[in-house]
Amino acid sequence: MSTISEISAKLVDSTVEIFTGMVMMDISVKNEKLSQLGKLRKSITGMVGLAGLYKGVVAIHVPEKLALAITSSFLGMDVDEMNEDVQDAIGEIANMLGGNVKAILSDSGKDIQLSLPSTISGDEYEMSSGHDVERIIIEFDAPEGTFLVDLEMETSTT
Amino acid sequence: MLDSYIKSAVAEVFESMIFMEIDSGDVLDVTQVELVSDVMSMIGLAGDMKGFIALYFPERVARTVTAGMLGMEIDEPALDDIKDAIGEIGNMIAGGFKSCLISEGKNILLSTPTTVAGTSLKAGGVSGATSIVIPFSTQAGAFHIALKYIRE
Repeated sequence: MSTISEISAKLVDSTVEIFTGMVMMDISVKNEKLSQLGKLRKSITGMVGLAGLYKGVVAIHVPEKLALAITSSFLGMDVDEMNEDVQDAIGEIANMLGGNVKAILSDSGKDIQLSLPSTISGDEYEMSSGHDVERIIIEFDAPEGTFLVDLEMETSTT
Repeated sequence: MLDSYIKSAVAEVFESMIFMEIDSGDVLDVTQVELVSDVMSMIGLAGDMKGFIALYFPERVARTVTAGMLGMEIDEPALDDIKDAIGEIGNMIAGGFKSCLISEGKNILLSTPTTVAGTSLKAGGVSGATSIVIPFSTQAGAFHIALKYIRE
């Protein structure tokens, strides 16, 4: 299996690809190796679970202002409040990232499966990873702020 | 049917690990319920059923359940203990749910649990999936479990 830095590099490429092609937004890597997530404030998190050959979670953490801009661009309409459209859009981006991570981690793509995407938002929150997990957190710059892509994988193979 | 699987998984975990009395209520209309919580745990489901199970706890109930599970006094658990415990409880409930599905010939795979703690947490998901929300009550208060899924 690829090394963490190979996975990280491919995850960067996937994120840029999704944002350029589907969200129509220019982004760039700000920090490829954040050591921890810290407290998320006035943000929304989209995530999807990985199961099978690798067990884990792929998540994207976006501050509200940027989430509104992303949703507006993604849907081609003006979205100015944190509503279901934003949840759908951020959840869908997490889903697309999950699909790319599937392809990065497995050649056949059949031995890793995705759950349904979900979103969590809040005024202030912290997300815990499990124990014995490998974590990659990448910070990206976007026109209206920065966001994080977060991949967690269980290191023990079950 | 699916709600009874969740209820039996919850009953088993509370009986064997938490040693607290627990009651479940009827499935709620998801459009009438806004699930807001202080501590949440989510486990993704894949395979024959794509979805997730999410647990929504107010802080006081999460703390009491954690204390019960770890054999501590109510004010002893730190936030990290609570997050760990609620994540573990979610994992076990998902495992119990999986066993029930296996008994009807369906196989699902579980992702790792994610636990979130914070203020004014709200959960959402992509629209179009089926949602089942079940209320539970303990002596420390109520909490909710949601199962969201699409059948493959």
